[in-house]
This record gives sequence, C-alpha cells and structure tokens, in this order.
Amino acid sequence: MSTTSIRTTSTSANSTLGQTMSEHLRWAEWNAIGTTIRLVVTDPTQLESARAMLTDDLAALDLACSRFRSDSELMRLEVRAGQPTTVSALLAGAVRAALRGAQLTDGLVDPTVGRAMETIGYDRDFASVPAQGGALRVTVSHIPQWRQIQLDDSANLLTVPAGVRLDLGATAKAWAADRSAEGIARVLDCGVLVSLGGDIAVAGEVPPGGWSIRVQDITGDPSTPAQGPSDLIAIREGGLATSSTSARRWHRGGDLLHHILDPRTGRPADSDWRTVSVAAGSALDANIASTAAIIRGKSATGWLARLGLPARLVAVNGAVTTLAGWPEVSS
Amino acid sequence: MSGSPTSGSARRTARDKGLAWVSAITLGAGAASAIGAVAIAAALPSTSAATSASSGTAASSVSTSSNEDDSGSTLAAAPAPATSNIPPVATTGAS
Repeated sequence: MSTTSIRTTSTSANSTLGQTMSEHLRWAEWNAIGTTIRLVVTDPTQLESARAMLTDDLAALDLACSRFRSDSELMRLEVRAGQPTTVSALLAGAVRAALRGAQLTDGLVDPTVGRAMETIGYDRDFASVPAQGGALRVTVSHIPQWRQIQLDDSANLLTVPAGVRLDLGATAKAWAADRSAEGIARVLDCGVLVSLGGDIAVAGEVPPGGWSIRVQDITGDPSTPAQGPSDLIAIREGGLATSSTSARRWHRGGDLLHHILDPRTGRPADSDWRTVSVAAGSALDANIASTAAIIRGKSATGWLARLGLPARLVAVNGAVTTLAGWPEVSS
Repeated sequence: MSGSPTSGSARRTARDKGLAWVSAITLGAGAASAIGAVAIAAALPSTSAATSASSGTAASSVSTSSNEDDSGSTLAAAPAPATSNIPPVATTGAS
C-alpha cells in the first residue's frame, strides 16, 4: 500500500484535514482539552461528521471533568463536598473509569491526587505551567484516598469528601477515546481511530493491514520521523496507550518534575521506565496499565506479563523491553 | 502546618491508626532551609490509608476484589499487536 498524501487542507489556525496512507483513510488533527486530537476514518465521506461528533464529545468532557475550569461540573461539585450529589452521566462515567483504574492497580492510579498535583505546580492547563520555578516545600496535612470516593451507579450519586480534589486526567482521556470511537463507528458505520494525546481507541471496520501506529516516547506527527526508539505496529481492536515521563515536565528548585504522581509519596514517580506502551481491550485499560507500570518500576514487567497485556517498556537509558506478544521490531 | 520528616515506621504506624500524617517533603536541594520557602498544604493519597479499616470511610461502589474473573474486574487484554510495514496513521507517546 503506498503512502500518498493527496491533500492536506488547513481548515483553521490549529487544525488540519487530510488523506494519508490509503485512498480510503482520511484524517483530521486539531488541539483540544490541552492535547492533540487525531481522528482517522475509513470512509472519506464521513470525516466531517465524525469530526463534529468528536468535537462535541470533547467539549462536553471538558465541561464535565476539567479541574482547570471553575465552571466545570467537577469543580462546581466541590461546594457540595461531603454530600451525595447527583451528577451527569458523563462525569459519573469518568469517575467510574478512574475508580476502575484505582481498583485494578491497588491504588497506584488514584484520582484523588488533584491537590498533590497542584502542589507540585500542575495547577492549570499544562501549556500555562511555568517551565521553571523556585523550590517547593510541601507540607502534607491530609491523606485522601480513592476508597473515600462514593459513587452510586444506579443514581449517578457522587460523594467527594471535603478537601479532596479529583484529577481524572489519567483515565478520562482514554475512556473518552473509547467512548467516542465506539459512538462514531456505530452512528456512521465506518472504521474509526481516535487518538487523544496518544491514548488511542479503534472501532468499527478495520482497514487492510490493521491500524498502523508508531510507538515512540512523545506523540507527534506520524509523517515526521520519531526521535528515539520507536516501533511500527498494527492493531485491529481495542486500544493502545503510552505513559511517559518524557513530556509534561517542569522544573522547581532544580528538580525535574513530571505529571505521573506516585500516590504513595505524592511526588512524581521515580521510575525505572521513561516510557511504557500497552495494548489492551480498550484505551482505558491500556492507559491504566501503562500508568501503573511507570509507577511500579521494575516490578511492572512481571505484573504486565501476568495480566497478559502486550507491552513495550523503554528504560531510562533507552533500552527497550517487550512483553506478552508485543512484536520485537524496535528501530 | 509543617513538620520534620520522620521515619517510615512512624508514618506507617500513624496510617495504621487512621491518623492524618504530617510531614515535610522538600523538593529541591537546600530548599528546606531556604528563607521564605512556601509551605503548601497538600492532599497526599496513600495506599496504606486506603486499606485502613479504621478510616471509617465508605468504599466506592466498585468491587474491591482483584481476583474475580468477570470482564469488569481485570484489565481486558487484546490480541497482541502485529508488526506493520504500512506508514502510520497515528502515533502513541507522551503528550
């Protein structure tokens, strides 16, 4: 199959549409929810409709779940701290996904890290976080924990204790990728790939050869060569996610900080791995596994192998380890 | 509030008793003694606290068992990726 870039059309200052890889695949890319969105469909005639659906989905997600917007449902919930509150199905779903992550990782992926994340400086859209800053002295005065979050599934009744700020970012993007990919494929009856900052979900018709995806340290333009070790793989279903300490990093007082917090310490994980990619039955589960693997460090290899999750782990020195059937094709 | 770092065993004991832990974590060499260092109250999640029966907090509606075999109680696997010689349509990495 040849790669012929037939057309790339600029539709706005930060958005592109185009055709790539196959005459039958069309893509669009733009920025939203603080990250890069990439959408690929197998039916060229459905790209605009798919894009409209995904745009609406992401706007709703942001309004429900952002901890950076005072008008988000998540932040407005704080005035009712400690009280059961009926929330939207969207917020309930995102919280449910986050609790699933906490449950299945014994709390290593914990949505109650919101305050701790703010303390180390990640308190606004990452693009606005100062790259440099003075040393922080952090005083811990309260210990929240995911089991304190109560969610009554039958009524979407959510209780968040006072003082606890949820950070759904670790799982909400992946969950949203799954949700949107499935919704678009069902409504438009075509194959769909949704990538929200590298958390990838696929649904519907599979293109010939599968969905070809390059795995690398930092998400980027697939037409541009990767920096560092990379793999070119194809998936046909489910999801693929990568967690890495190579991006969303900033300095405070000479320390290099990043966005993957170890809930056991409240500090950025001091991991043996700089990047972990996992293929799973959904983008959500891939994201949960890749994030937990970064926090677990060395023991991640045994854990992922026991779960049977194909994974690729890049050590801090760049050495690549593959597990559970992940193809050994590093370049 | 602020305090001095103490031993891990004392921290564990406090958590086992369901007590809030107060400690100082300094980020940056020498910052602990820096005049004007800002003390910040932080919410520190704790796996230890999570499992403390004395916390008196209700568990979420999500099952806490990790050994159940229904699809909701384990991370769902998928067929392993295949090698590809087709130019990529997307990349996955940190963002």
